[in-house]
Formats: sequence, structure tokens, C-alpha cells
Amino acid sequence: MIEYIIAGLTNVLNPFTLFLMVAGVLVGILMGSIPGMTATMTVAVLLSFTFTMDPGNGMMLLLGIYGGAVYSGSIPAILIRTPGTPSAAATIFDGYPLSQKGEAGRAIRISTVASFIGGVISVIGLMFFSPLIADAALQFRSPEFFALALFGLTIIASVSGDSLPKGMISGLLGMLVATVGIDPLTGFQRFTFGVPELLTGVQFIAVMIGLFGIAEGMKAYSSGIDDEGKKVDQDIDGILPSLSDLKAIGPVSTASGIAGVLIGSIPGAGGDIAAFITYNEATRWIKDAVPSFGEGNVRGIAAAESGNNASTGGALIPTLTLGIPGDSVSAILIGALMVHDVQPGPALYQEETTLLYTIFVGFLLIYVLILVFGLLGAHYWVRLINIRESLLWPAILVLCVIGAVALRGNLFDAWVMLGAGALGYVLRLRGYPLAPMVLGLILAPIAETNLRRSLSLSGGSFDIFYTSPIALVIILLSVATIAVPAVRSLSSRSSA
Amino acid sequence: MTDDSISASAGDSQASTYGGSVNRRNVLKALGGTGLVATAGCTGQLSGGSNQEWPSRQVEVVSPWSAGGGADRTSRAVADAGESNTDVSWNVSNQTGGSGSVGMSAVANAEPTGHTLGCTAPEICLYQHLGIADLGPDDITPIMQYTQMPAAIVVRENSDYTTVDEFLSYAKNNKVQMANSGIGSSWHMAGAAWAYEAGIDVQHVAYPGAAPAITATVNGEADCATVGAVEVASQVRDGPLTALGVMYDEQLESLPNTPTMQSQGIDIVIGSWLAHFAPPDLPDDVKQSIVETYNTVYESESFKTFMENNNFMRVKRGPDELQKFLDERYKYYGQLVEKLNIQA
Amino acid sequence: MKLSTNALRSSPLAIAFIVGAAVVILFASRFPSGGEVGPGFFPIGISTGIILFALVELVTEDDGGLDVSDHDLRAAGVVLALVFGYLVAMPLAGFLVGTILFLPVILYYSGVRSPTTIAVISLLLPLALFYIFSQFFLVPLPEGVIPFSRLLPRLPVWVML
Repeated sequence: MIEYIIAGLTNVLNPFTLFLMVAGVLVGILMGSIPGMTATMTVAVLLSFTFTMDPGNGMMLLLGIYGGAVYSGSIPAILIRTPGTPSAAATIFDGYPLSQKGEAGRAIRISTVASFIGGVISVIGLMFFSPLIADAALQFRSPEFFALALFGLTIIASVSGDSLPKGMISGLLGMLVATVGIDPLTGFQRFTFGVPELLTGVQFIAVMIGLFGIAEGMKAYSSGIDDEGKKVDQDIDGILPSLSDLKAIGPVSTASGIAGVLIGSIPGAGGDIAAFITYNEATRWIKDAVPSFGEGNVRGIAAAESGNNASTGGALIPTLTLGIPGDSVSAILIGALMVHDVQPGPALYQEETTLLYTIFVGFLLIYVLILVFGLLGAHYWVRLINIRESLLWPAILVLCVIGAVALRGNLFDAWVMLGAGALGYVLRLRGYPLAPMVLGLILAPIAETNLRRSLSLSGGSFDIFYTSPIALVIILLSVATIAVPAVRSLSSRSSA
Repeated sequence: MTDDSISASAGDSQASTYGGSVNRRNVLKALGGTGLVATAGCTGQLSGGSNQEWPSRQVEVVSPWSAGGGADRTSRAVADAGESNTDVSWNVSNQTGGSGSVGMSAVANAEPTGHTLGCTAPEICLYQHLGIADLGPDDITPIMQYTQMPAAIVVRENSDYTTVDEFLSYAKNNKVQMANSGIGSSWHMAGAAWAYEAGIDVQHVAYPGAAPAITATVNGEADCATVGAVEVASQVRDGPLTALGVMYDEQLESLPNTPTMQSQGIDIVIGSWLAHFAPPDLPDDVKQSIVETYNTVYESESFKTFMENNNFMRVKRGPDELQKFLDERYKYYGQLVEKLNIQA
Repeated sequence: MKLSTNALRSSPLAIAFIVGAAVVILFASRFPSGGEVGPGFFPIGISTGIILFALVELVTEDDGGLDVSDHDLRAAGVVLALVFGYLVAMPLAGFLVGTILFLPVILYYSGVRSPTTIAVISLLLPLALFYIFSQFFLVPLPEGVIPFSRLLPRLPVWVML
């Protein structure tokens, strides 16, 4: 393992790679600081820059953006009571009260250190546990992979959004889109209508850029581009957090970090859910909070921020070991790797160890960069919130188009992107969550090919699913994931 | 710079895939969308018809598969060597999709000036049989094949059969499941051809790529897999796989302990390969110049070093030989696809 | 099941999903049966699921959507139309010229009024992206009928390293 870490470190310390990490972190912090610009959108829109890069370098840029944006979402949460990314929503509870007391600088420093602790814990977890999981997954056959994909699909539908039917419809739509193209098992062309660009299916990345770039842009324009917004006038001074603050947040950051990794590693549960749970747990466990939670307790900020950043590395665990994305950003990362013919899954740990350890070591370094830039730059980042949206959105729209065109060097994918954008906007407007669609797109081919391959191997007998204990347990879990909330919502409706 | 020279260069640009399919080549030419990004600063380089010397401007090689794969990496090595052996720059672009047919069609529909070349593989002999695209060996001008990737049958290390004979006697009494890296891929075809030559019935099981096919073979879901011999060499030497035999006519250096299929009584040489080609109707003098350059490239030290360091075999077929080979493969694959009954 | 006309009117999307899914089932039912579970199995299964959940959606009248009155639908339509036009123009004008034409319009629509700001962004952003993609990343971008972009000087080698 040591030799792999050294190989990874050698790759990461290449000047161009370092440049990409710094650029990724800075862009991530910039976009994350602006309310409405999510980590998912930024990664989707800037993905095209990595198409011709070496996959390791490309991942460094994207992971830098990911970590940076999840961290900096806390800055507007603290300053203007608006989360920069959804995962910073729980940071508002204690961050904003501190800011009102004139202690925004202190709150941001706490959030920076906690993000760093959570991030580092998650990367260490990723580095040590994911190889074990991948090793076990090497024994997984088609029935187990089918069960895993099914589990991912059901859990995403049940955790995202308020309405189970809407989540399910969104996920099923994604799955349906994923069936376009040559059927991987029989070679039959499904819904291709003679269009050669459709033979390999609707391009996932083009759809992602549409859903998270174009649709978000349409939403931003329809709610009104507001350059005035909430101005930040508070000055941030000082660089290092105080020793007493560090002592106060140490244990809660560590505990939230560990919890965040676990939550993040559940397919579909991303930073927003992780932060809410870790914040809630912190308020339950810490009885002696002064000031109490919700009134500007630094430990509240630390719990939320460590939790959401820890979910980043956690989300990569199922992504890299099984090819099943932990959240929307890691779904795009799968797409990014597949552009380079790198297929995430257990075999990755056998064949691409250097790439993997480059990712691990690089992601660790990215969190060091976030700590350094976060502490040194806090004074400047707060100004970013005042950036003019009217200049940003046109640039994002252009980047969306260039991203789709550069994907395969043709305009067809740009039209797909535009269509996905229009659909995504309408869905958002009607309250349909988009995350299930993303997971549906990625997971449907896994679910379908493994189900059908299982059946063809077993000669059509469904025994193959319950003779495998692992597959059976996961399938039962999936059923429960759908059935429990469905029953609960029905019973609450009838009692209401 | 006169307007004439600008529009001449626009007409000169190769057709590409912007918003169109293969059948709409005339529309495409009218629109003139192009994948070429030449930014030559002076007039002389912008003009250039088919009567001109080759190369008179940037040469673009289209890799129909994504960056990082074998076609892309070897094409870049060819382009690098081409650049040092000509006065112009060589650029590799990736136009993927349609199992490679999108990029190959773009080249097949380009102006035949020799400034747009493409990379191709056995798939070009399969598209028409599989109904993927109306593109076959007759639609291109073959230039040179530069590598060969023989197929091998691999089984897991401690399985009951580690030789072809043992495998065949097992297969006579049991239903054998053979993993491949994708339906209609050249590896699927190789496996099918081998089973046919060996006289056994196998169930072909498709996986999304070589890695999952190998994983399935190792964990016992499939009995064997047909994969590129050189690709799996390290896993055979010190890993979980045993290779039954290589479908090639000579012993591979990278698999010193694995005999050829021929030496085990199954006379078959099949697998995958990579070649470069030009659009059809290429003027003879241009073709001559390109082939000469390719001969130099093939023998150049930089190309040799690249191929050796990256475990690609150097195997050459010149234009005429390649044309014959393509025609022969086209017929052969046609028969195979019919036997396999792949839906198209 | 109580399907009120009100529910139908308030969930036009659910209706569209049901119709769309039905069309997909119609198509997929003609797919050949390949092996135990053929290529039509998943599209049909997924579409059936969509129809079921869309029916639930209709019955429950659960309107979890954003408040439409807060949203200027026309503005979203205009943005969509502008990007649409941008894509239509791309094969003709090429990426460089197309973007130089698109940006002033969308910037103006976003509320930017300063001519200097509009001019600077509309020129510098497309040029920067053009150089980054075509020369640094070697990604082919559409050139258009008249490839003006070929007239641009190549970047000196040191910039690319």
C-alpha cells in the first residue's frame, strides 16, 4: 500500500496536477460561495475541461471543485442566511446567529477547520475501507450487482424530495432514457430511430449539463436575476481560529466526520442529508452547549460542516468500488471516468491502483488546500457573494454548450443537453427532484444488464436471486426502503 | 487574405457529424461544419485542393473511440511520429459514438485530400452485418495496419481445466458460459469463431468491457472469457487467470508459457487490430505520399519505443494487403453474425 | 379512485408522463424477445412504473411544486429560446462567432447595460474558451461556414506548456 501511496504522491506533485487542484479548489470555493451555484452544477459545467486530460488530472480538478464548493457553501450560509449549496443548509442554524453578533470571521474559521477535519477523515476512510469493499465485491456476481443497483434506485427515490411518487417518477424517467441505444445483451437497437449518435445511448454527461446547468439557469432567470441581492458589509479579520475554539470543536468534528462518511457512502444520501443528521445528533448528544444550539454555538457549525464535507469522501466509496454513485456529484464523476474508458467497479482496484491512489492522495491534499485558502482567503471570499449574477449566468450557459459540444465533437449532444434542460426546468417547477433521475440514468443499465444476465445464466430461473444471501438481503432492504415510507405516507394521509 | 481563399478553405474542410447522420452528407458539406481547428496565419496554408502536394496543411487523425483507449493512444503515437517526419502539424481528435461508426463515417465522408485520416478496427467489417451503420471496407481507402491484438481464452487459475483438451472435453458434457467484453465486439466474434472451430456449443455472456468479463471469470460466474492476450498477460503471469491458448500464428513474448491455439489443433488466428485509413477516392499520388510517410513512421524509433513500452505488438499490413484482409474479414464476420443470430 | 377534473388540470405533467409511457410501451412491445428477458422488458416495466406513480400523483393531488406565481415563465422561455438560437447558429457561424453574437444578447437580457462590460465579456470569454479548447485541450469546436477562427494566430508554444 505504501508504494501505491508514494506513486500517487508522485503523480499529484506534478506541477500541472498541482495547478489543477489549486484551480479546482478556487473555482469550487468561488461557485460554492454564490447562492444558487451548487457543487453539482459547477462540476457538470466544467467537466468538459477534463475530456482530453489524463483521468487522474481530470479527477483532481473535479474533486477540487467538489470539496471547495461543499466547503464554501457555508460562507453565505453564515453571512446572509442563504446556503451556497444545499449541503450548507444546516450551517445556518448556528452560523448566522454568530454572524449577527459580528463574529462572522470566527464562524467561517470554525467552518473551515471543521470542513478540513471532516474531509480528511473521509479521505482516510475512503483510502482504507474502499479497497476492502472492492475486494469483497470481486466475489459479487450479476445477481448481487442487480440487487445493489435496485437498492440505489429505491433509496434515492425515498430520500430525495417530499413526495415518493414524484421521486419515483423522476428516477424512472432517468431509467427510461438510459434504455436508448444498442441493447447490451442482444445487440438490438432500442429507440435509436436511425440516429447514429444514439447507438451508444443518450449521453449521460449531456443530460447532466442540461439538468444542472441549463435548467438551473432557466430557474435563475425566471426567479429574476438580482444583482443587488444581500450585500455583505461585515469585515473578516484574523486568520487562525482560537485555541479554545479548536478544543471545543475537536471531538464533535471528529464524530461528525465519521458519521458523515457513513451517511455519504449510502447511495443517494449526499452532503445535505449528512449535515442535517450530524447537526441533529450533535444537539442531542451535547447537553452543556453554551450558548445553546441555534444561538451561535461553534460546535453546531462544526458538526454540520464536518458532516457535509465528510460525505464527499464517503460518497466516493460506493462510486469507486461498485460503480454506484453516492450522490449527484459522484454520478458525474462516474461519467467523467467513463469518458476516459475507466469503468468504476471492483476491477478498478485491480487494474488502476495508481489512478486510485492518485485520487486518494490528491483528495487529501485538496482538503489541505481548502484549509489554507479558507483561512488565508476568508477576507476575500466574503466579497464573492456580491459577484454579479448577470455576468455569471451568461458565461455558465456558454460553458454548458461548449461542454456538450466537446463531449464527442458533435452538436447532437448539445441538443440533447438543451432538451434535458427544458425537461429539468419543468420538473423542478412542479416539485420533482432531479437527483433520482441522475441515479436512474447511471443505475438502470447496471440493474438491467445484471438482471437479464442473471436470468440468462440461470436459464430463466429466479432462484438465482434468493440462493445468493447477499443479493436476497439487499433486495429485501430495497423493498423496505420503498414500502416503509409509502405505508407511512398513506397512514398519515388517512389520519389527516 | 482574399475572400476567395477563405471560402476555398471552407469548402476544403472535411465533413463532420454536426447535427447530421451519414445519409445527409450533402447537407453537411453545405453547412461545412468541421472538426478541424487549423489556425494557420497565412494565406498559403489556407488554400489547398486535391491537386496539391500532401501534406499542405494540418493533418487530422480521427480516433473514433475515446481518449485513453488503444485506438486513441496509438493514433497519437502515429501522429507524433508523423509530425516529426512532415512539415505540418498532426492533430488527433476523438469523435466517438455508434461503436466507433460515427467517427469513422466522418472520415469516410471527408474531402479526400489526405488531410483527414481515421483510425479503424475490426468493427468496420461488422457495422453492416450488425445493422449499426452503413459503413464497410468499400467506403474507405486503407493506409496501414500497425498493430495486432490476438485473442486468448482465459479461465480462472484453479479451475478444473487448464488446457484446451481438458476444456473441450468439459464443454462436450456441460453448458459452457463464455464471457465477452460486449455483444458484437471483435472479442465476442473471436470467442464465437473459436468455439465454432473447436466444434463446441457455448453460451455467450456479454459484460460491459473486458474488466468485468475477467472479474466474472475469476469469481466463477462465467467459465471462461475471450479477451486480448496482451491485455491480460500480467494477470496470467502472476494473477488469478490461466490462458488456454492464444489465437495467433506465433508464440507471444508476453505469454511465454501459453501455447498458440494452432499448436493445440485449433487452426485459428483472430482478435483485434488497429489501422489508419483515408476517405475513398483518394488520388493515387496523395495515397502514395501518405503510405510512404506511414512506412517511415512505422520504422521510426519514437513509434517503436512507444509500441514497446505500451505493450502493443508491431504488426504491419500495407494498403493492398490490408484491403484484401478487410474484404476477407468482412465476409467471414458476415457468416459468423449469421450463425450467432445477433439481433440487428 | 376519485379522479376529479381539478386534479387533471393541476397535474398536466402526470398526464404527459402517462401518455408518453404508453407510447413507449407500444414501441417496446414490438421488440424481439431475446432470451429469457428480452430488450423490451425494461422499457415496458419502467413505463408501467411511470404510469402507476403518475396515477398516484393524480389521485393524491399533492401539489409540491414551486409556487408558479413566483416564477416568470416567460423569462425561462426566453433563455431557452436564446440558447436554442445559439445552437441553430453554431454550424453556420461556428463556435467563436456564434458565441460573440450570443453573449451580448444574453448579457443585455440579464440586465447588463454598460456597453464596455458587454463588449469586453463578449469578446474575451469566447476567445479565451476558443484558445483553451482548440489549442490547449485539442477539442474540435465547430468552425462555421466561414472559418474566421483560422485567421487567429496560434498561441506561442510557451503558453501551451
